[in-house]
Order: sequence, then C-alpha cells, then structure tokens
Amino acid sequence: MGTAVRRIRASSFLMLALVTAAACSPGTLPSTPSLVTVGGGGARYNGTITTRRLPGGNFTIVEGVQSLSLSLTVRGTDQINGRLEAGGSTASLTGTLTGNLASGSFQATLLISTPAQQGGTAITCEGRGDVSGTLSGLNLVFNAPSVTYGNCPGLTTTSQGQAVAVSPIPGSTPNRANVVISILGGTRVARGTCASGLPGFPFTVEIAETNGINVTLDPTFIAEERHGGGSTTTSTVDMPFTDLAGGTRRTYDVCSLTAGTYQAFFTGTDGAGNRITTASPVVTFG
Amino acid sequence: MMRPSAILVFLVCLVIVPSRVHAQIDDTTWGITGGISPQWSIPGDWLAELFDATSLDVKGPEFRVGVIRGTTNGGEWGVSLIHKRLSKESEFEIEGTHNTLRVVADDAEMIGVEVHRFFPFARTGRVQIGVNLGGGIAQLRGFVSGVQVGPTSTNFALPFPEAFVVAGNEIDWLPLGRAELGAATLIGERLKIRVSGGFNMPGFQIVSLSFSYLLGQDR
Repeated sequence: MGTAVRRIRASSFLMLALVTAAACSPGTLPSTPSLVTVGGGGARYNGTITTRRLPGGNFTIVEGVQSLSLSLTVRGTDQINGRLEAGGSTASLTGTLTGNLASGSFQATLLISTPAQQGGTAITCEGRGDVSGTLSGLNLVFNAPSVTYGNCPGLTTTSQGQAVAVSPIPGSTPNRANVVISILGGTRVARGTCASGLPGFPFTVEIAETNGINVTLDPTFIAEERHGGGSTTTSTVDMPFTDLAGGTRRTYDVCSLTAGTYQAFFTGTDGAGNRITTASPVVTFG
Repeated sequence: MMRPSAILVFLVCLVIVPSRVHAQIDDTTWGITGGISPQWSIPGDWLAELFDATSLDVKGPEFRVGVIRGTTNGGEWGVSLIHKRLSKESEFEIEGTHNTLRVVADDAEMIGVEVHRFFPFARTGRVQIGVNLGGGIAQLRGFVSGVQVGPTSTNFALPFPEAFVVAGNEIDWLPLGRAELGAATLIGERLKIRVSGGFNMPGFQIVSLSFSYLLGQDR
C-alpha cells in the first residue's frame, strides 16, 4: 500500500514538472511572441517607401516617405509575385527570385497606379519600372531607380523602400482581384521543340486569379520580346479569352524560334470595378 | 466509314429484293429513329462570314437518335438529339484586331435538339421519295486550340465557344437546319430506312443514313 502511494506521488511530481517546464518554454510564454519566419511560400512586410519625382512634366504626386505594405508570394522555385500599397498607390510586383525569402535577391517589374494632380485635376497615373531588391532574414530592401508613367507624359519617379516581415502569410485584399502571372517550369527555358515540330523554346504562361474575384481581361495584351541581342520589340496581341473566373487559372503555350526574352503585360477589370494591371516575369530562353 | 457508293448499292438492293407483303401501320403512331452522317462538311468559305472567319474547313460525323410520329406509307415528324463531332482536321481562321487566330479542333462537338419532318412526294413500290426538313439548336462544347503564328507563336487551349472571342463574339449556341432530298424504303412492316443528302447546318452532307421504327399496333 505504502509503495503504491509513493509511486503515485512520484508520478504526480513528474507530471507537475513536465507541465511547468512546458508552460515556461520560451515559445509559449505570453510575453515572448513567436518569431516570424520567412523563406517559405510567402510573407507580409510593413515598412516605408520614399518616392521622388524626377524633373520633367507637369504632374505632381505625393513625394517623400510613406508607409508601405507589401505581400510577396513565391511561385515555382524562382518567381515572386507581390502586391504593394503605399499611400494611395497600389502596385503589382512580378519577377524572379534568386535564393529564398530569408536570404536572396530579386529582379522584378513594378506596375503602379499612383494618384496625381495636373493643373488641379486629379488623375491616376499608370507607371512601370524595374525593381531590384535584397532579402535578408526579416528585412527587405528594394530600389526602383526609374518608374515612368505612360499615361502621364514626363512623369518619372524613383522609389526606395525598406520593410520588415510581420507575418509569413501574405495579406489579402478582400475587394480586389489578385491576378498572378507565372511561368510553369521556371523562367529560364531550355531549347526544345515547338508544337509545329520546329526546334525552339517552348514554355507555358499561367494566368491565375487567387482572391476569388472574377476578372474580365482586356481584349488585347502586350508582349515584349528581345531576340538575338537586338532591341526590344513590343507587339499588341489579341487575347483569345477574356473571362478569368475568381479562383481559377488559365494557361497558354508560347514558343520562340530564336533565343531571347519574353514578357507579357495584361490588363483588365475585376468584379468590384478595379482596374487590374499585371505582368509576367521576364522569361529568358537560350 | 461507309462510302457513298456502297450506301447507294445497299439502297438499290433493298428496293429490288423481293419481299413478302406485310401488314402495315396506317394509323399515325409513335416510333424511334436514329441516324448517322459519315461526314458533314462546310465547302469552301461558305458560311465563313457568319462566324467572322477568313477561312473555314470544318467537317465531322453526325449521330442522331430520337422519337418520331408517323405512318409506314406516309411521312413522319420527330424530335432528335443531335451530336456533331468536329474531326481533328477541322480548322478555321478568325481575323482578330491585331492577329489571325488559327483554330484547330482538338475535342470539339455540337450537341443539340432538332425537329424534323419528312415529306414524301412520290412513291414507287416500297420506296418513298421526299424531302426531309428540320431545324433546331445545338450547344458548342469541347475544346479547340487557337494558334497565333509568328516568330514567337502562342497557342491557347480554348473552350470551343471562345474560339470566336478575338472577333468580338462568343458563340455558345448555333442554329441547326436541315433540307435534304431522300429516299426511304420499307423493310418489313415497321422499319423504314432512309438515305438522304443535302444541306445540314452548318454544312452539307453527301449521304446520311436513317432508320425509323414504328411502335404502333398492326391493322
């Protein structure tokens, strides 16, 4: 009987010790939040962006430091897609990633809608620029040395941003479609055979809506190509499908007969009436 | 696939083979029908404008099954389920705003409903000569490939109705129409075999083979 009691007491002490140890572990103490980790499929960053207008044109924008919210998603192994909000500006970011979100760098295309004024009249300027950035631990730094606005002649800006990861889960925008363009199999395309049977560089472009909101794509899209080290050629291509249902994805196959690069730009309108502009990553073949 | 000449020989044999006299169903009665067109096609660029196409080379087989109401010695009308498959050699080109989209049928078909009426206007022995008129509607289903050719070609896998989007149209439904000249022969007391040819929207067919089987009581 006495032995049994001693065993029960010993077991009770052991259980109490285990419970106490678990309660006091660093990850569960109320005053010690879990560390935000990045490096997986995405992250949400908060920080600041500094925008300056370069001389030229008669459009005015809000310059200086503004708060920044950026959500990044990794697609495939080497592609990133981001959505950026700063002040009244919204932007998409599509590019290639070297390394990972915890330690890497990226090259991307920024497509931004920025509120501007011209002679007292409000206008939304649509800009485009190249962005390069680095990722180290929780920190993200990027630089867009030249963003030009096609519908606002003369307006060119430069932007620098820095942000810290606040969540491994990219943020969502409940009333806005998120159209993501990616290249199945990666952005570096090896020589293969086109559907016509000719040797070339075949790859597949995927257009996905990830926020559950229907999108009507415009009837044309822009394809930018560079072949044989020559200059970039821009062509307007008819879009054979315009309906992109929320949460669905569609693909098309591309095949270039010669080495070079390819990038496609799409526009459309989502079910909430928002204008959508997005681009594919730059595809390099050869 | 049965060649047209073979079908004609078959029809002639049916006509000339002696047969016993059977009781016939002279009261209008219900029956079943079925048929096959080995190939319908759209000759040349006929109807191309209807689809905003610059060229049109579409063909394929057709299958029909349905119910009829008629008599052995008279005509018939009926309602049929129509299935027109587009052969994989079917191609057409749609002129868009900036590019030409060459559309190749991968797995495209039309499924619809058609009402027809066969009007016999001449009779010799067990053979009726007449016209078969019909109309209905079919849904475009399945998938096609839309190819934009250039130094960099793009190939879109499209639902069949979206093949016409670059021209500003999305065609989900297509009217069906039929105007054929045909000859029907009575086999036994209930079965009629009809060979016909002519217009079969959206194209023409050289030969179509149908059967009608009446279910009514003998007299």
